[in-house]
Amino acid sequence: MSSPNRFGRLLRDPLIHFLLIGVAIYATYGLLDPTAENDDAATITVSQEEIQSINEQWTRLWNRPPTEEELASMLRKHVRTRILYKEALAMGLDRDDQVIERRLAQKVELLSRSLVVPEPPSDEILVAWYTENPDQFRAADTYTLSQVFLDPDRRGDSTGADAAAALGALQAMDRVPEDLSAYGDSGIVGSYYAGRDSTQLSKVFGSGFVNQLVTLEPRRWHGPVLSGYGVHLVYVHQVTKPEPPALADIRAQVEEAWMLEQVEQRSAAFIDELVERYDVVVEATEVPLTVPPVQAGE
Amino acid sequence: MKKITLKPAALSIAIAGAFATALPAGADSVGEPDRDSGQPNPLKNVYFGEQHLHTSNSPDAFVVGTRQTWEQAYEWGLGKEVTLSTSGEKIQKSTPYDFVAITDHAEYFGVMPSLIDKDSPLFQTPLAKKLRDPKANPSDPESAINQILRSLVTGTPMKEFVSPELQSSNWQRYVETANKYNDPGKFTTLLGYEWTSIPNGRNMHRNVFFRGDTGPVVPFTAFDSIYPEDLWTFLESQRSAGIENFAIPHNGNLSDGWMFSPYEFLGGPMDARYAARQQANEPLTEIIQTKGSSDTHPLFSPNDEFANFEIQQNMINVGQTGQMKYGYFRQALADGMALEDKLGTNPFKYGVAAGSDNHGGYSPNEEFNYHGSHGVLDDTPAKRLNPVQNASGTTNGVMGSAGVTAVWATENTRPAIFDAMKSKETYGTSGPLIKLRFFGGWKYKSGLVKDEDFVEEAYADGVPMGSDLTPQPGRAKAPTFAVWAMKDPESGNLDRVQIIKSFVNKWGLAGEKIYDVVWSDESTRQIDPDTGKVPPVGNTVDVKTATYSNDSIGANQLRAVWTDPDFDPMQRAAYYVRVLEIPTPRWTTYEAVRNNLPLLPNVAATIQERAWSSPIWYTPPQEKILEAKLKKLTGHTWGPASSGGDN
Repeated sequence: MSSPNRFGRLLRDPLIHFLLIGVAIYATYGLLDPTAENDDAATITVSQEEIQSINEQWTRLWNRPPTEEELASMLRKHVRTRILYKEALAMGLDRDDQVIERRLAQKVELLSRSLVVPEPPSDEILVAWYTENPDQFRAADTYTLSQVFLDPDRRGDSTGADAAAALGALQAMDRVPEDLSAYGDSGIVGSYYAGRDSTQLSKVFGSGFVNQLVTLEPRRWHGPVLSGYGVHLVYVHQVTKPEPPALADIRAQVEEAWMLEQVEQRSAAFIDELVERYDVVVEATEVPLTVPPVQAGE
Repeated sequence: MKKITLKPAALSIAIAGAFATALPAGADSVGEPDRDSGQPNPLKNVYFGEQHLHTSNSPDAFVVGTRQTWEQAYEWGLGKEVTLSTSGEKIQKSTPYDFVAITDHAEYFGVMPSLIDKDSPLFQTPLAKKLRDPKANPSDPESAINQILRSLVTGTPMKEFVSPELQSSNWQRYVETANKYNDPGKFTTLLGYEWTSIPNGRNMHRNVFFRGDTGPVVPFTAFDSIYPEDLWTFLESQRSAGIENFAIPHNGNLSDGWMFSPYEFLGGPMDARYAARQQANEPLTEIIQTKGSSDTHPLFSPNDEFANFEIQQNMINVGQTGQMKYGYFRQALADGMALEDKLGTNPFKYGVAAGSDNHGGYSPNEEFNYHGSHGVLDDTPAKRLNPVQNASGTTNGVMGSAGVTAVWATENTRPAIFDAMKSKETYGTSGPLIKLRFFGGWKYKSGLVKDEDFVEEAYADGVPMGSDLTPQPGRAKAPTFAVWAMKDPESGNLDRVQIIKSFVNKWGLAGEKIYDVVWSDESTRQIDPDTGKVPPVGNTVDVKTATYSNDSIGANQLRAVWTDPDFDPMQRAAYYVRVLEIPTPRWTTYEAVRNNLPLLPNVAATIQERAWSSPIWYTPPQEKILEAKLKKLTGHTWGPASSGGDN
């Protein structure tokens, strides 16, 4: 941490931000929360806000406000919890407790995520980001294909040879003739499917066929492609990656995704920084220590 | 080869001018023209789905350790990967469903997950604490689990968990989740729940379904009443308030002979009013699910060599076989017609549905993709193949994979799928997505099923599965039936198509006759003159590797027009189709091979998966019935002499 411009660096340090914000939260809480000053040795004060919050929580879950009896019972529980909590702290029961340790660590992590609430992005930033990350907003790829089906029910042992002959003829033509009926058998599956995604196609041909289909180079005849029905010769006219919707139509959704990414990036950077500030000593020399990257939200 | 013409529907979805090549002609399968044209299809498309599934919101699923959520159940149906809460296994369907109805038990609907949710007011109830107690002994009769189960089985509610507010709030959460996943045109989530009446272990369960996007304010539960008539009253009152609905009874096989009984639930022979209410409220019944087939039992169908299929007869948690008479669909068809003769209404005019009744929050219709049905009771291969008897006096391996309901609907939306189910244009399968059309009329010509316009002509000149035949025209001697079946590309080839005729014989007894209508490998298989049956298709399954081959036996597609050779115009009859696949490995065989475990001795290593259509009914004209009755009573002919003209 030795640097010629130590003070300047400190000002940019997220950890310092964090500590300052922590102090601020603590101070504000102390000023605003009447329970804090009154919660001395033997007084518990339940504020109007707390009652309100208990009320709201109940109503959200049960679609009605609690009855007086229910509210009283909830408040009794609440007060009891507060008292026992104070007693526990006084006895030092918060130390050496894995659950509490984890919970507090979680709180810091949550805090790190609310540390810097990103400003809503400018149009420029959002457009640029959407252009780079369109995939999560895009519908599944669709395929337009023609296919010739050779039915083993009709052709029996000659199915394979017939398929090879038909494939030869089609490949020589190198296009899709207007009428494919001369090349194969009809009545099981269609010869032309426009703009279907892999789920739709697997309901027609089975997933085995679709797994092969997605690997085929477009605008060429391929075969034999097998399905549960028999042998297919396939020509993919085109694979369409549907255009992502216009930003204007899904702006709120994109903005939310952008904000989420910002928060996650900043939180991760912050936790990385914290980790860097520590010397870690592991007292078991036998165990090779590989520190996995710490991830936000873990 | 058949001529292929370019259809306007295909043109409208083609991206005109997008390619240098001319647009090739496209024809769908013969039985499913104009599918995915982007418009509601008057000739209807088939949609496959699950209509019977439980999640952690069902109390019995919860107590066996299932923690799957509604969301996860829908994601599974959509073909996304989900993680099983019990085993941690990541699982995924090979072919997604078109629709899913989650049907959690109405009793304590959505309550159990609250007992382990810190934010719930139920978290601190004594039962919740007991449930979470790590030292609790589950076999203690007073354990939380046993308390919950006992309350369900005896129909005595624990008051703190059945307040209308609680029920309503849980139901609303379900409705909101279902609405979120409902994607008209692509994926339908039907609203429904299970009414769980189980007096003395007799399965009288009904699943209840709603057409709209809200359903009732509060579900009617078996705590409210265990009598089917009270459920019907609830359904009727909902309908008069504009909330369309129907119910599907299931597991007649485990009802101890109560499900299709000619007696009313509270005793005494069924009267006309009861029969009419049953018919109006219950259009479909489940022909198969995890807990067995309810088509028929080998005892009742001794001449049906395929009747011994996924039979389960030990009543749930009772460990004994119940009465089997009045428990099965095929005999119920005939019994219903006999009752119609007396009462004027057929109470058992059931179309066909199928499902899983899985209590693990996913629906395993793919035989090769089965991961258990009942939470931690069968969440590992070793437990599933355990030869030791369970609480129902049978083994976990007897459980079947999921059945599937197929519906013929104009489009994949809630109203369209609901309407198709209510009108019975449905069929059930033992799992595979077999496609099946079945029409009945009086003048189908023999080549109809090979016509390009087969479906259009079949609708124009007759009725689809689930309907009544139109009156017999004077010139027609017997009804004709058109049937088309196509295999699931991920499953076995088709062996044969049969038409099963259920009728009331002249002594008033249920009769059945099975006709092989069309079959594969016709050059090597002919009807045996001694038995009148088509010989078995053969078996390519290698049980040591759990593999089979479609190369040498079976067919992609089977289709035929069939005329009833034994038609008696004075006899009521119901005709339904059974399509059989070639033998393939049962799930137990796949599991045994994958995990190097022995096969179970009490289940078949290979099965012939199948589809069953809803029936088409024939009813003799009223005046002819009356004539016959009068003649029987008085010994001579009454009324206008039978002219043989159109009636």
